[in-house]
Amino acid sequence: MQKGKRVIYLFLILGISWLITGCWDRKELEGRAIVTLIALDKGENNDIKFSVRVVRTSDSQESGTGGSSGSERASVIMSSTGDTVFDAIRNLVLKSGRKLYYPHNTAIIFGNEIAREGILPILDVFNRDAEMHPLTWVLVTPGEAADILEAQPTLESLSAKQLDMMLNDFGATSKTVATNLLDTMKQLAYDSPGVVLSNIELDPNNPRKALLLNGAAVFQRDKLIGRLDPLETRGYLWSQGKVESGVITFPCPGEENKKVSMEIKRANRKIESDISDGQLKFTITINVESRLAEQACLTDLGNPEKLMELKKSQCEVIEKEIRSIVDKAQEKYSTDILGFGTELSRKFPQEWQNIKENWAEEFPKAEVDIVVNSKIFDIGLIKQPL
Amino acid sequence: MLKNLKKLRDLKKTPANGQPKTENDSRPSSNEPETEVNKLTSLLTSNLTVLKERFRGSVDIVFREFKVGFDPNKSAALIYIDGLVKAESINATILKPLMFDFAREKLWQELNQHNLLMFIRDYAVPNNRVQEFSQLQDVIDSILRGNVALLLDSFNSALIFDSKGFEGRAIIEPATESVVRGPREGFNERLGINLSLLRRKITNENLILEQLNLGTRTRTTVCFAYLKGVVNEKLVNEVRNRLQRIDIDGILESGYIEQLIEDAPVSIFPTVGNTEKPDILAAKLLEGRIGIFVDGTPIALTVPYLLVEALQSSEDYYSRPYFVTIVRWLRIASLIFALYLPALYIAIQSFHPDLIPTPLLVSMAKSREGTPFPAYVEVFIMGMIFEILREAGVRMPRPIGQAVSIVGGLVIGEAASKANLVSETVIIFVALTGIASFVIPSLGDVVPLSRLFLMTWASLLGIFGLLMGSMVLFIHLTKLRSFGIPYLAPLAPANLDDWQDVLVKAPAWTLNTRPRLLGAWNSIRGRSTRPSPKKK
Amino acid sequence: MLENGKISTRQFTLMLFSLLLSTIMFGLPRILIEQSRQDVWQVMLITFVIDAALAIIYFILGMRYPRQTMIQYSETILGPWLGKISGLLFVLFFGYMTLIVLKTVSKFIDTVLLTGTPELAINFILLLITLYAVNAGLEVVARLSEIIAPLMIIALLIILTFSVNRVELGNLRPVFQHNVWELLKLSLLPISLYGVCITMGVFIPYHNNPKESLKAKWIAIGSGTILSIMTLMSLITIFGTSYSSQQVYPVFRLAQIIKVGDFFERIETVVIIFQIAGAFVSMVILYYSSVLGLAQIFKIQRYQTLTPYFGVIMLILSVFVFSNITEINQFTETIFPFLAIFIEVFLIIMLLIVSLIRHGIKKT
Repeated sequence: MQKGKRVIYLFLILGISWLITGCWDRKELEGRAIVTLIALDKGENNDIKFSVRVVRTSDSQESGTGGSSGSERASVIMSSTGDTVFDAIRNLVLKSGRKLYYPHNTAIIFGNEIAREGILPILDVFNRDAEMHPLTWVLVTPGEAADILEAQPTLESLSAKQLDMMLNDFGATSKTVATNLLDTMKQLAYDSPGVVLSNIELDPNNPRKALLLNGAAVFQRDKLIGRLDPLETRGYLWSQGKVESGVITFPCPGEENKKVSMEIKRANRKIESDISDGQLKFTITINVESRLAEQACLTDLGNPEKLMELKKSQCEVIEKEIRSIVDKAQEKYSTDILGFGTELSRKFPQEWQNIKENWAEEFPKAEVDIVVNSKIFDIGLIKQPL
Repeated sequence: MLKNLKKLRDLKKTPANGQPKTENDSRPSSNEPETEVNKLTSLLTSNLTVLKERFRGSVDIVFREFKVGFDPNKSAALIYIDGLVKAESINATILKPLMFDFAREKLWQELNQHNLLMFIRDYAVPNNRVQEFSQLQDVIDSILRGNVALLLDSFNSALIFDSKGFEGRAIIEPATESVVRGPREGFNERLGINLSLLRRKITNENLILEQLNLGTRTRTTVCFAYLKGVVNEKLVNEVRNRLQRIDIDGILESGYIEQLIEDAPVSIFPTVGNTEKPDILAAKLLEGRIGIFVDGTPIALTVPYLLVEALQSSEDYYSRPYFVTIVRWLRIASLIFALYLPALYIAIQSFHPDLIPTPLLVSMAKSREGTPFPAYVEVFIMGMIFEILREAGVRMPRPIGQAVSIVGGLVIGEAASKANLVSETVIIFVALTGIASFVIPSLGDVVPLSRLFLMTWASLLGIFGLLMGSMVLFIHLTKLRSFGIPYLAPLAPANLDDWQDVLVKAPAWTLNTRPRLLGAWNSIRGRSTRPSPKKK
Repeated sequence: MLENGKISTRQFTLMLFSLLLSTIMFGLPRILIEQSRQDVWQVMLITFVIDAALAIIYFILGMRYPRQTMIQYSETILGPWLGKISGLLFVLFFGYMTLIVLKTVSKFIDTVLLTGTPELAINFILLLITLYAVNAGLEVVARLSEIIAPLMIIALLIILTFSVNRVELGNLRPVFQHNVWELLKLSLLPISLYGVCITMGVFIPYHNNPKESLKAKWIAIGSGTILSIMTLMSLITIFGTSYSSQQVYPVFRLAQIIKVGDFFERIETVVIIFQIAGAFVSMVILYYSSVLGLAQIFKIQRYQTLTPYFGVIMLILSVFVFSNITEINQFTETIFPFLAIFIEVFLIIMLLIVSLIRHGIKKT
């Protein structure tokens, strides 16, 4: 017993002294630089340009740098290049001094060029490293991603925070998508990959570099192949059942030059696949509940007959939106961004094994039916405008 | 000190019923001149000489020599200590009967037919408690405890009259355990009064009070109380044995006893509880615990003491159960706060800032900019300053104490962060921790130490270190026992029946059983059912 | 007696439960989902049934030789030499599992929580505190699992509850892709890991009511199976099978995506720390079983004499064995099931048969 105890004590003393001199992972807050946005571009020498927007926490700085506005001084942009993303990340430390800290990163923004070459090799480090978070937003910009970092926040103090709120509220219009790293990787992991990411730009109408979400970008597997305008994006969201809310406008019955706005309140969709007679057939069924939000014409729409008419036009508009994206996916891009392949693989797992190989050829040939059922459940506080 | 602890541990390792010592054994007086004279003689003068020799001329000893009933042959002497006795009652009930009343003819005749000593005891002196001792040591002890000894010439024994009359404090509300609802009375320094307070709470002949005299020099009266039929007899024997094993020259407070009988003397956790209030003590006795009184202190000890008792308060039982349950949770939360908050702060800010929401992190980082120390040094310094302020507040006279806290709060709080010595966040956390630890006063000395321990772990290995530190604490706590009862009972080993008085406070009509491990053999407290109006 | 402590039925259950849950919570979900895809729940159910049946053998042997652990009764049954070998096999199994749990946990911590800290330091800390717990005796081990197991369940339920908004039920299809034979083959791996619960053979003699130990074991592995099926199903419905089988620590990923309101994000560290606590408890239990078994084989008065040496061996082994998680996983997938099933199935059946022959059917 005595001997055993002595062994314990020996190890205790050795180990504890070793630990106390260690402190391997401790890093005080002032030694870290909090990264809020990451931008990835293609560098000049065919390498990777990695830019970050970092919160500046020290206020003892020369006033000369940057602009004079508070928000500009609140954060700084730094960039570096490297052969791989991780290489570039480490090279950044040569410039920053502080250790860059990534868990608070809000979004990864891809420049156009790098996205065309494929995002999967670049996303690897964001999946592998424990400091990166799977709920980070992933976006694409038509130009240089580093330019987006320059954007100034309007209402928030951090542009990352504003971007986060913009993406969280994408459902208010459903005219853009909000895809995070997890969703991106999940979509890429499916058998029929096609990814849709949000498209971010600098607002051309705002001289002070403001952010603007504009439609979406389409990827064939991990390569950028095209863009969707806002309404096509909503078509895509309809087909995914991800429409949360939004506004549908169409001409007023009777007064073609005036418009009616309907607000979508609830929507769900169902996809059914069928391969019974050798022909691939998909049926998208959408159920929508909406309310009359605004009318520009003076017709009394608040009666059942008129509401029936509104309902019909609403269904047509939604169907047109979906049809536009289905056509685009099938004809222009030949890419299954709508998840039909996944649906097929779940319902007909055996048959899917055969179709899988030449799904790229089969998908454009598939027949797609769109059924929209809608319901108007509210007309607001007034029955007729006048 | 360490040697003593070891001795104590060795003593405890001997089987509980090894050699039951008698009370006389615990009164060794090796350097008392026992061999000289230990019995009274029948010669008054020699007795007085011996006694005077023993007291060696202490000024407060009074030897009042007189003659009984005007008879010059019947010399007698009263011996007592000035200040411990009621002089008026001695004059009126002892001296007056012996000196004047005996002089009456009839009494005198009566007296001559009897043994004088017997006569005085049985007929003459109206005193509530008379003892007869022939051992010199007994007589001396009695005098020291405030009794009056009567020595008569030609008798070899002394009569001891009870005439204690020393000054004491009144029964007031104890400052440490004040309540909003419930009895206000608290123990004071006089054992007799304390025992009477307890008796008044439990009117039952099964409330047994056993007495021992401990301390070779002070010979302090120590008394332990239990409810026969409720308490486990083994526990009583264990307590008796541990008390009898005490060998120390003086016991001035119950803290001495606590340190000499506790199970885990090297643990920072107390395994002996204490209280100043008779109602709390009575409640503990009713649960099957044992209370230990020490003469000269208002603090009574209770054993066994379990960790959950720190989270219970007497008021919990006097108030309606619903809010009390929430208050209990608050106490548990406070305990967790007081233990973990600084450690968590260190772990999170130095190792895992990802846990903090981004805007908060930014402002925290801003407040840390320019401060010179790493987080754990900051927390340590602020914690130390907090403890210094607390100690100053306690020790200072009350008006100054308040000034200290105001100055301390202002200076330390405002200026330190203004001067960029510490970050504001640390001040908030330390203050919160301090306030939280005030909620559980009975663990007041344990919490800061454990907190320091956890802080060290957290500053070495972050949250993982915190986990490992907590594991050490948990293992230590699960190892501890208080008088055979696992310290963490009823949490581990779990007893779901007892949880109704731990994690929640169930209504009184459902608390029909005693804590399982304490009162296993007589666990039924009552059979009350849910009160409901009589149905017609 | 090496151990004088007694444990209650609840403690017995919770010990086995935390042992099981933390053994299968770190690396296993990925392998299971990769192998059996959407049919993983069937595999787990089969595993449960088989392991519950195996428990009966351990229970019978435990009842036939009261107050003897499996190491002791294998000596009673097989005689001193063969019995010692068989006992040693059990001890080796426990020791090996201790090492596996230690390595898995320290690898996990090294990857996720403390990337800069040397693994040796983490191993050292873990072993040191395990040693402290083991030396304190069985009752402390039992009480420790009594405290930690509920915390572990709560943490796991937090993960499952707050990630429920991301569930896509479509991911559950296609189902029933494997026939019975394939399912049995797939359940080989989980059965071998469920084998850690043969520690019940060590604890039955210290159970204060040994007759209930079979029921306790069933409850333990039953609830363990339910929780692990819930976890696996959440992984599949939230991540899909492809993404899940990509992840080394899928449960950690699941913890990463939970978001409570707008203010609790990135709380994975807090949640996952309780899983580490559970793994620590299971390490304590396995460590304890190993040293107690060793002490019983070599007839040593106090098993506490052995604990430091065992710890040093573990620490040294932890440096040389399995340099990364894929090696652990590969070994667990390929060789381990056969070793484990040899010990936990064939060895014990053999013991039962010999016992029936040597000591008759009606013993006790």
